Amino acid sequence: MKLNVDERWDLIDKISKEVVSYGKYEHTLKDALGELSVKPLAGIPIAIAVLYGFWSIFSSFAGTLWTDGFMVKIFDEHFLPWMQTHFPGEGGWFYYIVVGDPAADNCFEAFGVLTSGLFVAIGVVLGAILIFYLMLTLLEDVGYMPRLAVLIDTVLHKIGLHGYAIVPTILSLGCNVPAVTATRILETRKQRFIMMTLLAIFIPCGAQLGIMEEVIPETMGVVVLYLIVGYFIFGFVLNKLIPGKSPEILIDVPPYQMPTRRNVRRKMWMRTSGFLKVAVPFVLLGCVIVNVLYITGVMDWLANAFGPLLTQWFGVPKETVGPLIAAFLRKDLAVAQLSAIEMTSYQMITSVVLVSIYFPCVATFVMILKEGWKELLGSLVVLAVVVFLYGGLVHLIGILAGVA
Amino acid sequence: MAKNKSSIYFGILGAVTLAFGIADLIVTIGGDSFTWGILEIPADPFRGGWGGLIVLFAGLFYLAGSKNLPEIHQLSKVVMGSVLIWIVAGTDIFAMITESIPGGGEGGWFNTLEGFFGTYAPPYAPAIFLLPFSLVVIYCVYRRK
Amino acid sequence: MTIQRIITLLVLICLLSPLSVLTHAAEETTGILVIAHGSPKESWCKPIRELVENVTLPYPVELGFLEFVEELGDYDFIPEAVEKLDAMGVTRIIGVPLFISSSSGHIAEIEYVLGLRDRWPGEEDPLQQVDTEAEIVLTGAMDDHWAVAQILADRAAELCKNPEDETVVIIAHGTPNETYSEGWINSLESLAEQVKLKLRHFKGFDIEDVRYSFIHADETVYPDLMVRSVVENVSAASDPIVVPLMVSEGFFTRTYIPKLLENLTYAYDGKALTPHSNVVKWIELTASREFSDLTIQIYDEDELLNISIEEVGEYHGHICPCVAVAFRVTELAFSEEIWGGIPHRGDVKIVCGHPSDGHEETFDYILNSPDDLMMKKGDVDLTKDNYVYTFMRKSTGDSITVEVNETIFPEGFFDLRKKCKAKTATPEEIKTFKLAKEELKESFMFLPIDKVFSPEAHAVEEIAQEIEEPEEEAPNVVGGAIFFSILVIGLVLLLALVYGRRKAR
Repeated sequence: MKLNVDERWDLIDKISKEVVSYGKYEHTLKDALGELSVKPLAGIPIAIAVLYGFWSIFSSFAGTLWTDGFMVKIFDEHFLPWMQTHFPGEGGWFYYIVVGDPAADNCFEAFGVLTSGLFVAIGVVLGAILIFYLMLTLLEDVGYMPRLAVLIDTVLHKIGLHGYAIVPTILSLGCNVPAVTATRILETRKQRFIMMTLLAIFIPCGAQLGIMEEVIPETMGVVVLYLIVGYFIFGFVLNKLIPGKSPEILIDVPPYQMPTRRNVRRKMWMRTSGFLKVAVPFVLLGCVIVNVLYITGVMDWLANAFGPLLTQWFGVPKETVGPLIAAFLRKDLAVAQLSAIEMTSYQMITSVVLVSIYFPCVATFVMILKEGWKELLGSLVVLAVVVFLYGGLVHLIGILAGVA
Repeated sequence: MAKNKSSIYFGILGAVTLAFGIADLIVTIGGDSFTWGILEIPADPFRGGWGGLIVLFAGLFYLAGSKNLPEIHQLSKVVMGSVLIWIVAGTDIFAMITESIPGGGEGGWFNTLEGFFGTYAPPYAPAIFLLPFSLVVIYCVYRRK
Repeated sequence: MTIQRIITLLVLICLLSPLSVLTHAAEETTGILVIAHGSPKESWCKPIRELVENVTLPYPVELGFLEFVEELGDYDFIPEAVEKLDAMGVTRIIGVPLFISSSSGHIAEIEYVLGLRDRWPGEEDPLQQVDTEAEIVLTGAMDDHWAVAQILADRAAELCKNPEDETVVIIAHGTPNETYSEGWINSLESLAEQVKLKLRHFKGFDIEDVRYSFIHADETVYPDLMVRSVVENVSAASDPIVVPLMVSEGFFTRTYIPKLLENLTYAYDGKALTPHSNVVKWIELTASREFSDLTIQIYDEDELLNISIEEVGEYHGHICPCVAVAFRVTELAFSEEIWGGIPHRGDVKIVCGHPSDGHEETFDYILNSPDDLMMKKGDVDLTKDNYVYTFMRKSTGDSITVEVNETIFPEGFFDLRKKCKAKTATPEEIKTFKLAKEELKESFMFLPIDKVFSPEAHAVEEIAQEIEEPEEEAPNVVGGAIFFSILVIGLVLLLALVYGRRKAR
């Protein structure tokens, strides 16, 4: 029996009336919670609370338990004296590079590759990375991260990224190495480039944050504020300048669920191994190079060469050139070195901001290179411009505020 | 009846939580922590300021959700309020745990037994007092099922 | 009858009095003899006498001049000064020659006068020798001691206007005698270097250079070291600041040097080493090195221990300024005036405001009781305020808090330390810091104890309270255990609930 179109539709209606039962979809508790987390009114307080929890657990685990609790003891009371007594050639330059200052009584000050280098990499940063990535992975798998992305989406769009760029940004607070890899989730080349550059320049990594907390806790808030503001300003500028598209966000927001052990384990391993395999060797290499530069006196020459730029344009003492060069290789140590130079607290803020933005650490450098040499070159150009402008701007603000 | 009882309960809890949150912020701005017996309202910018803000939000969540409690969206607000309390209290407890294990600068690898227990001693922050009351919400959820 | 008895008694007493000499002689006492050159002019000699009056040492100090003071009333020659010390019963005399250089011909003359040399070294008539049974020890002269370098730096600093364009020229007597020239030159080289470092890194004057020159030198051998030659040479590229290395103002500073430099432009105020507190300091340090016996006594149960600073130095690895100051503050606290007896291990508690290992290991070695030692924690930026120590006697609750006298620290010491710790110090700054540490160590070890510390003995109760503060509160174990158990129970219940529901599904 052949039906025409209208008849067919009638038949369909009849069948469906018998077979299909309509009901209203009732939100379950999970759905309601999910909705709460996404809408700005409730979502923002929740986000603030989640971040608080994140930060608190981070500092309790990494600071109180890992580093101060056990690592400092292992390194300063056992490893360092053992190295200092058993490593051959005390007084020679090789000893100095590997073990560092023989009179040092803690690993942080020794500056040797195997002492400071290992201590910072394993004793400080590894603990931070572990807890950081564990919590991040849990938040992702529980389903919270996509909601956070949606919340932030509007804001980030203004700088040409979509909400999901929050993931590399947060990752970068741990270590730039996995973060740069994570930029691959962004769709266009323009977005990836903006993200990588902003990460490398404005987001301080876990090591930097840790040292900042240790060495300049009072002014840390202002420094971070400057960095965040810079992140947005330059994101906006880059978005306008660089050709390319920024598509709308379209992500699948999963319901809240329990994370699976296997998933968490895999993600953790993937990210932590990135750090261990790439960042750590570079941290050690960085130590070697910095020590060599100091021994050969190249640092002094550079201090004199760049002196005027530093004092006039940025308004910081010329001794900061040493830490600034060291910042290429070890940003965290650079901050520590800065703290010992006499300067006003505004100068300190400027210097730390400079150190944070002025060069990605060697590991990040390599990661961006892996993504493409053109990207790297572009990033460097942006970097030079940013350092010059923003550093000068920070100084200018200081002058206007009367504190420079 | 259940509806009324829970509404009143969370209404009161919400008000108390909100009060603690505000107190925390005031104390933080003032500068010195306030201790009364086993209660200590912290004054540092992180636990006092940021943490206090979250307790305040939790109070607001409770109050917003306390009317007509069985309704799913209202319940979710109350649950969220509890979650926020759990975050603040939980991180405080976690901090106690990480502090109690290592031996510290002078001691050996691990803390002594007295030192270990001593870390958990009073006074405590407000969120920890609110914690047991916030757990009631689990019961409410359970009963719905 | 009675008168006879009285006379007999008196005679007996007189006969017995020589015995008192025996008891005196059984005690060994030390005396200090400061020796200066002397001049017919009182204006040269008076400042020196005033300065010697300010020398604080635990032994008597006398001033004796080598020559030229016949006309001056109250000024003693060396033999007369030695006689005075003898009359006090001194058995060991430490002679401290207030002379610029050990390579001065006068030192040999002094040795002769003191009976340490058989033949009179000069050509003129020999001077009178001393007549004493006491043992005599002669220390070195000022040479290149840092205290002297500091005086020169202070003098130069007063005349500095534009340090980057100025060069300091030190003028010393020198000697035409070939054998002694080398000694003078080495001393002056060292002094010039120290003055330069002190000006640049203690005082912050970025002086262009520091040079030296001699009034008397063999012109044929060292034409470039003659006064006028050096100043002219310096003037070509820099502005000279002239500073004389002489003990006291007199003919040379007022007349001779200006004459030598006639028609040249230079900054000069003619001030010599005296008066300056560092001359007193130098005398105290130099004398103390000879008699100081840095040992501490403490009982360990019934055994009396004598702990020397060398032992502590070996324990720590070396004697650094920290070990030195920790040792001496203990010496002060354990002294008769303060402790009133020899302390016992276990009865002493120390609170130390300085976190260094040197301090910790010194106190540790002395007390051998870790619970009785409270060290300040953490790697802090050190200042003079860290050098504070509290000693408490547990059995009575008495205590004393001692601070280091802040003038003992070389200028800019802590800033230099900070730079060196942060590796931002230049090699010159590192060198200066090393010198500063040596100075500090010597000061701590050998200056009289009341110049090292400014003791403030607080009342008993006050300090007892202060010691309570740094102590950690005894942990509230019960409260904590209760809370911990609540946590554990709560956690178990929660888990039971979660797994219970899982199973039910």
